[in-house]
Amino acid sequence: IMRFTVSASSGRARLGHLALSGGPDHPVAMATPGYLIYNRCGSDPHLPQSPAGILLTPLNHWLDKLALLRQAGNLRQLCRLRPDRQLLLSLTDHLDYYPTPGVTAQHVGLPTRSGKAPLTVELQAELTLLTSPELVQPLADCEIREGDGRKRARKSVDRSLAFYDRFTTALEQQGGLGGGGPALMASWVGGYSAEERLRCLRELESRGADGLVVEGFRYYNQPVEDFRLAQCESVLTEALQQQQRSQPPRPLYFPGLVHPADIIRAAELGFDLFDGSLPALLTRRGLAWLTSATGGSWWLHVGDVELLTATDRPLDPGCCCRCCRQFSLSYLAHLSLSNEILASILLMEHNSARLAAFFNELRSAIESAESLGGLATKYAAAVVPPTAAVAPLANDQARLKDDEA
Amino acid sequence: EVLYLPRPSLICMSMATSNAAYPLKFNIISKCGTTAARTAKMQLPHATVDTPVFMPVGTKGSLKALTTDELSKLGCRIMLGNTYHLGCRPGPEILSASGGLHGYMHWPHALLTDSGGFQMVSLSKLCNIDEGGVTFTSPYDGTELRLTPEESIRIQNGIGADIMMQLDDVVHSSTTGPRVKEAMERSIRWLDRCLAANARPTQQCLFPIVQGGLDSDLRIQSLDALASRDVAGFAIGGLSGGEAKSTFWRIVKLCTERLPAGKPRYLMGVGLPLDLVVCVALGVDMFDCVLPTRTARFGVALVPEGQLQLKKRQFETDLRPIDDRCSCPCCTGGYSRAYLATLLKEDGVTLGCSLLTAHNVAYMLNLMSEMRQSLVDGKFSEFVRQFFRLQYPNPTDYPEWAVEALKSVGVSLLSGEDVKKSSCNVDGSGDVEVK
Repeated sequence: IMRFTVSASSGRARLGHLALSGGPDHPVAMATPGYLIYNRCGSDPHLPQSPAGILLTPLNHWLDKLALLRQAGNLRQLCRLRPDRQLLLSLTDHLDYYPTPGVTAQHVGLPTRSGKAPLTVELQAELTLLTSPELVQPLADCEIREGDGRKRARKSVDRSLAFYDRFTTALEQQGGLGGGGPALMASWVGGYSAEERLRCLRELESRGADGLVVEGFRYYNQPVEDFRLAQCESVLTEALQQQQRSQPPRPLYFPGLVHPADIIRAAELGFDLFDGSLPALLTRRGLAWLTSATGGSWWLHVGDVELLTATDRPLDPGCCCRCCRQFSLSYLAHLSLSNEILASILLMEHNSARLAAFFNELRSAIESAESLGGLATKYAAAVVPPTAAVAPLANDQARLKDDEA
Repeated sequence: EVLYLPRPSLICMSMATSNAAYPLKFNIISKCGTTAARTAKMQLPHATVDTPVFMPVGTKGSLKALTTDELSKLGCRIMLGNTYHLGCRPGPEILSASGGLHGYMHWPHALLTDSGGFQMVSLSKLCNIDEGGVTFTSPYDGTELRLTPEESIRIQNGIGADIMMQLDDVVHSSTTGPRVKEAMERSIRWLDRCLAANARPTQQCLFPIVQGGLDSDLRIQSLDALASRDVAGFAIGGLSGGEAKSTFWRIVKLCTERLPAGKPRYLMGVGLPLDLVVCVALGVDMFDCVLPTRTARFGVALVPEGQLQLKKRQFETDLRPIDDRCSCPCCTGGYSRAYLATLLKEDGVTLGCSLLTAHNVAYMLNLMSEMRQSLVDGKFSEFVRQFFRLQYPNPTDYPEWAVEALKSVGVSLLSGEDVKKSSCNVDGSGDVEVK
């Protein structure tokens, strides 16, 4: 169902090709380094239809909607997903929910809107069959708190391996594995212990995991923009060297990295897949990602009264998205200041296009065997500011109040 | 390569064949043999609009969660912009520099703007009205602003809508006493000032607004004065403020009976599907209301049988589309009620709102389209009866005011046959029995 090939490499960075043939008549091929398409409940946060590709489908959004899922019997049909959408059924949304404590030998507690909900092996197997994803991340112990030591790391590896084994068994029993079943993206855990990380890697390789998802580095109360690759890079060094030698190559997915420079650095280390959550993160902050840094900043806060006079230019002259082709920066600023939903829609179109352009740039750099250092320097200043620093676009409640007028 | 074209030039049809003093042509295609309903084609600079028409409201220069492409695909050819909000921000200068609101929001079809008067009165805490204009405090930044007839037209000229509204002296429909007469008379004087102030008379027409509260004599005075002006069409104001429906329809009928038949009648701020059907029967051509867009954001879907409150428990596992007879993108796209409810409840996801807005707007536009077709086919009365049967399974639930209003124009909802039209006065005297 999944074929991953590496076509070129530059240092440890590698160009790859991920082909999924689960969907009938709709094989999807994705160039790596690439990104999964961020969504919530089967929908892009602001766009009617996200671009074709692999939809990141975190289970935690669905655990409080089980009755509906079971009634519908098919997640793709329920969400009206186009045939060119492939799914990666993952555990937790990395943008909005932090892994919350709550793992036992029997279940993993995932955060939902109505509190923590338990995910068991049996439940995940059932949901996997209801969803028929091309890729699935078996449940795992991804918890980490600051100060956790080797003992906790060891426990997370042991538990995760046990979950992995039981999940594959359950899936086989329910007829969901084998030729038509999903590829398994195993959680690579082990806390901040290099030894445990290496052990986990070896164990997963010996089980023939199809791909790896790096988990268990971001502390449970750490905001997404606070998490930097530098925090954990050294822990992975030895394990990654081992990983690079393994054949056949398996795709490595590192979710939770939002800063462009971190994505570049992770690609340099050999990672292939990232979560495409940056556009959503920027859009909800009212920030646009520009083609080139202006005045030292990569981001433009569009809800700025000063921008109302910009009637003669688009948001980003270097961009071809609909927002930049059809509308002036003044209009976008006006919509944003007026708390209009259309502001989010247009901004998301732009930021999504910008992310795609960024990954094109990344892949081009690898292909032309350029050192990625130059690219990293270019994007060094592209640091997503923390929430408090920027006034966000109004949320739905505020908008409803606003419109009473 | 810069692909953005500043001030995109949008096609603007010149009214070459019009020999009137304003850019609007109103050609009646078909009249109902029983009621006062009629269907017409209204030619405006940016679009030809079929009437009766429902105009969605894009208050601040955007329809909630819908792009202009999506709105156009639903068949919308005229929508509203709100002068009060747009005048405060971004303001007429920025709009002029952007090719008007048309260019700013990339809307190629027709626009209508109100005068700003209504919000001024309803939104500001302090509001002083004198012969010159209105002084009020802006809720945006608390500064004192003055809106005069000339200023309102200046802003509306900057916005560039095909149809503008006069600035009128607005009183709430519950107001009684000499203030109502004062406001009605002042509105006539302000109309003349507005007409004189229109700097773009060949590109933008101006509708006067009939006032006079709920007093038929005052209404008649207003009607006679306004009808004597050479204007493109007429608006009926002061009637969406919660007044008794039995009075509401009588005033509407009074106005439509006295206004020139060959010009469009616009009933401002109305309304619910039921209101639209009855008022079309009474001879109204144009309507606007925030209902479809506002209810969408509360998770309410409009259907022929009434409304569905999608966020309620009963829809949590309901996998049917909102309405399988509907041809909007939401219903034909197979989005189920349950999934829409899921999307609506998920904070930070706009798709649910977009889909529901599209459905509700499509519902209203389709309702008007069906009415127009029934008028062309000569089956309007039957359409009205069928509309009521769907909304109210039990005939005893038919709203009294609607039954009376339709009876007064020859449609008997209860007997199923058309009846002799009857005269009726606002105070209740006349042939129509008032319970």
